[in-house]
Amino acid sequence: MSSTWVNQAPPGGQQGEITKKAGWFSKRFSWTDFAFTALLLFAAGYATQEYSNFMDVYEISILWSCVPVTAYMAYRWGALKLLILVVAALSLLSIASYGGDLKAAETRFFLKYLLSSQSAILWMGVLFVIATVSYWIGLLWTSPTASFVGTATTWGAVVMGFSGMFIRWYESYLIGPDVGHIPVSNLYEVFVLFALITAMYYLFYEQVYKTRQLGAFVMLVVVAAVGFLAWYGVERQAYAIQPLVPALQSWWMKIHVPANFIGYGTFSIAAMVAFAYLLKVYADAPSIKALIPTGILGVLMFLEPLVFRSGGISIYWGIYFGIGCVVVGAILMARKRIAAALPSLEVLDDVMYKSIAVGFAFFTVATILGALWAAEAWGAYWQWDPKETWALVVWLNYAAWLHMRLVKGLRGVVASYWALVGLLVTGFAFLGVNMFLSGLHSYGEL
Amino acid sequence: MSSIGDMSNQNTPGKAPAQPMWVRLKELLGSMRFAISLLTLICIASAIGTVVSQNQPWVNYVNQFGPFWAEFFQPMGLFQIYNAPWFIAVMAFLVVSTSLCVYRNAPKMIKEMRVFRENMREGSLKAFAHRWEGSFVERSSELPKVIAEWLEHKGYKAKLQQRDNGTMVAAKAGSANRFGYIATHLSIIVICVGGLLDSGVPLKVAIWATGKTPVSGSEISSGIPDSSRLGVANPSYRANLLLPEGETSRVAVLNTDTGLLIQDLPFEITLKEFRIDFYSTGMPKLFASDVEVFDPETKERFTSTIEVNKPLIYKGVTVYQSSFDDGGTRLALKGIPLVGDKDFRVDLDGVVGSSSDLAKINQPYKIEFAGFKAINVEQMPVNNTPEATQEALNSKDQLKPFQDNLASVLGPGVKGNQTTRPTNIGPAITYKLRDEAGQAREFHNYMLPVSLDGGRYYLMGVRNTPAEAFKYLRLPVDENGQIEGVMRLRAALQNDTVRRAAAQRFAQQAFGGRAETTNLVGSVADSATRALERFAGVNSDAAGLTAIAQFIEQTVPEAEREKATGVIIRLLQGAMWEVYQLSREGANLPKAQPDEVHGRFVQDAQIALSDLSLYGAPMMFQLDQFNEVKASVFQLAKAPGQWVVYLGCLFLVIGVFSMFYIRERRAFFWVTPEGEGSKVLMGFSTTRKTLDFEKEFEQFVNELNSRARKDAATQAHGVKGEAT
Repeated sequence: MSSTWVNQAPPGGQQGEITKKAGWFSKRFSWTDFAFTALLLFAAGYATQEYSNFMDVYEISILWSCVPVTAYMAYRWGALKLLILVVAALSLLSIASYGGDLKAAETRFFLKYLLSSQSAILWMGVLFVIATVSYWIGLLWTSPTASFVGTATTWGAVVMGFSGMFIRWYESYLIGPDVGHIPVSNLYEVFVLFALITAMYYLFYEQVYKTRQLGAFVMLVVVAAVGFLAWYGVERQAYAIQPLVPALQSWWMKIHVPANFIGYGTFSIAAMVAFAYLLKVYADAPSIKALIPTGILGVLMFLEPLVFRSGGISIYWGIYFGIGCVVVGAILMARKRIAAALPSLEVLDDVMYKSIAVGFAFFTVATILGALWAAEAWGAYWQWDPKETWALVVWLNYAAWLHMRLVKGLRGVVASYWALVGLLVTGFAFLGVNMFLSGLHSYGEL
Repeated sequence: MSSIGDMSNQNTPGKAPAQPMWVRLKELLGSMRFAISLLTLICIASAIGTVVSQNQPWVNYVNQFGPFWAEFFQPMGLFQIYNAPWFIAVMAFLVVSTSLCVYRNAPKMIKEMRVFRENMREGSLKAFAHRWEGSFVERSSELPKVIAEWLEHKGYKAKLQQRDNGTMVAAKAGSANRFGYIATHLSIIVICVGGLLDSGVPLKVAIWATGKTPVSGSEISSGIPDSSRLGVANPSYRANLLLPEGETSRVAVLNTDTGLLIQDLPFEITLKEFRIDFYSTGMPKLFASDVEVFDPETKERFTSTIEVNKPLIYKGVTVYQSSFDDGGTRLALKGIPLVGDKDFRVDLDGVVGSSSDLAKINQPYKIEFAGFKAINVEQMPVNNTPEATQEALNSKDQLKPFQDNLASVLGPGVKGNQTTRPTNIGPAITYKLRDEAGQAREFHNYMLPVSLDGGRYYLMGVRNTPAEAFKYLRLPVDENGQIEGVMRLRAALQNDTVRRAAAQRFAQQAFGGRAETTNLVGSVADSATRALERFAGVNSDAAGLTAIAQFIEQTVPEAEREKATGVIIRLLQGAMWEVYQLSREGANLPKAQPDEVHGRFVQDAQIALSDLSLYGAPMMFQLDQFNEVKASVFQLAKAPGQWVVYLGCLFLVIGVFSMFYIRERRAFFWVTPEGEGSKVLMGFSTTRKTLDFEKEFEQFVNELNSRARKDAATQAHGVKGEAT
């Protein structure tokens, strides 16, 4: 008879039933964790040695801080290791093919059609569209195969998207050493980042909650972003790499922008899950009337990018809005079928809460980083610039949501409506401010 | 269950009426309802502040809203919303409300963080939604320690309480979650207080307390009274300084809503050079000021470079590169007459930012030298041919086939075949001519000719109001690349003798050679003279091609107009060519050959001279030389609240993360003897039920089940989808 339960299997129990340790390092380390960390260290060391004259001391610190952060994330979420390795391999392959000359993209087949930044981002878009369609087939016809295809293509899209971004980073230096910068500096680049972060977070939740049904909803936001990118790229040629104006030439950009987009991405996930939640709650209502507010919010979501456009609606946006209405309508029509396939309300509620919590935390950090940066660039950490002000409105909105949830135990229908409205507000802070209101943040004008 | 000490108002119904007023007030102020209402108010006010542009001159608001609504909105503070007394009051209430909340709840929470609640009664445990019962072979004297160790391994802290009939193991984890609550709420207070220190409020208090009076801009030039000066000791300010190259300042200027205040600086700052650099695309790349700072106290002198994102911090004052301006560039202009039959040049010197009376050169105007830019980057066609220009203009509106569109977005993130590229087209000046009635027209002239549509032109822009875009006169260069050719032609055209001679020559050459047409020479010369006169605007308000068109409309029946227009244009062109030749003879230049260069010149000149009738000024000023003086605009700030705000931010981040990622859980094990072994009643609780909590409970139950005696029944409540 043992006088301890720690590290000892119960009599007659399975090996796996040994008491699990809780905490930050509760998972067992495997050799891949050590190998991967070693690889990250090597990569950071190599980058420091090779490119230190392109970086200041802050940027080198950021680079080295990425090592433990990435190593830890990869330890918690093993799939990241493979993703990072593949993205690194593709990016390095592309860099090698360029050989220091942008013109190589015209002659080398692989560069032109696969591994130049624009081609990779185009592939990302195509894969996201396929993923969305697959997820929907999987949801509507309860086909695990189709859902699996959805997951696989989403991973593929993330691989291509991140590779595209890294290659774009390299290309910017090929245009001119003084032009080179991290691709998070304008509306086009951050839209790619938004799609990638949203998809990544979704994939993470997909693994944690072991459900693929939410992909259909989350991917709608991602695909809307891709649709915007297509228009913005082709119609406005916004894909062209632009050098940085003096106000943006700062290492702060490297942390401020990604932190912000973690917020935007997870808020979007929360809103889409909220949409699914409402659909499931009201699916069995005797009349579709119960879903009218949900439907209106869904259509508003599609309408939002259009409202901010001045000077009429082009054919492209007409079609876009038409598709949006059809999608929302079709979802409402198929509500019973969808509701049956969706995970339980508890799971939906939990995903919603977790997304908003992580989004809020990062949005807080991003806003603070923005304030620190503003203090250095504009001479005041807060000056009620429209973007700052709207960031505050978004922050207060989600702060109130979380308050009500944590203190008053708010959940369910009201929390879901609120999360949907929250995304509309966030959308305005993200897009509307750039288009409607002039201010210091006018980097992404349409 | 154990939700003691939430940051909300714990509603205690039934108690309220008996309490005195101030207690109820305190309760209201500290309630979450009140806090959320304040937050909503701040949200709405902030949003309004982004839609209504702030701190604009009064006229703009009157234009935008009309006098009635502007008067209506003004007292509500809508135009300076973030400094409006009621907005600051709302903020203050938020601080009060949050402080009360912290004051009331923090001590409870800190206590709550510490206690294990080992006095939990068995009866209470039985009411837990998440509970488990089972039996173990371990003896009741030994089992509590085993359980405590097991819990500690799971990250819990445990405490044992021996009672007569058994032992209570009380354990808790994630107590720092409570600390998160306190930290976030404290941070709001700290940030607001820090922000208040850096807002306009301390300055207003200082002005009020010391009786300082702001002065208007015009008073400053006549010396600054002490009553408008703020000393070096002023703890919090945000001032501006426009410093031209080569100049030194010891003061900066503070803008208040009633005027200006002068802020003394603890150092002297000299701008040695302002540097501005551009990318090849014309986008600005660098704004940098090389400055020299002298400290009169320590007699220390050092140089520094201030850039955007790289401010200078000295003696608690941060100096930011905020903008730039012209610091009084010296201009040498040449005045070119646009009326009369004399062509001459008048020299005029000026400094950007100043004005000068043109009476000395016999013009009834005042000239205001409004601006100068040494580098002007514009999108220009890559190939300067008329076709390429047309293509560049068209490419924007044309619908390209799909595959072209696709091909254009493949490849690296650079634009493919470009038809235009950013090009520096050289220095330009802006000046205004103000007539005696006070009406001004604005002019924008490039110093150098610009290549356009296959030719080269001096671009001279004009507009009547700042709201309009400049319309440019294109003056073609002569064979020497100068403006002289077209100006000589203009003067010649205004000369009656020249016009007649040119018309005569043209008629003679066209019709005089052959016997059968000689009799026409006289009348053709007459017609050509009249055409030239119309074009030159002799005795008429109209001139140029407009005047010709008017003439045709008035005198020729509609059916014959097309034919007549053709004839007159040919007459005009032929005669113009001769005017050109005569203008060259007058300047002792060789006769122009009828080749493409001269042909095109005369054609372009004719259009330019026709447009000249709309130029609206008797003289234009061409930039001849300049001596650029730049000025840097600095912002100088002393923000004592900055570090307070940053400290608050640190609290906020720590608080937010510990609130979301540290889950507070409590576990209670009531161990009683049962035969040789023991019986256990376990209860599990949290302040926030999440799926993670459910999962952890499930894992607890699984582990306990596997360790419990298999011959005795176990019972679990609260496990999802499972009742036993």
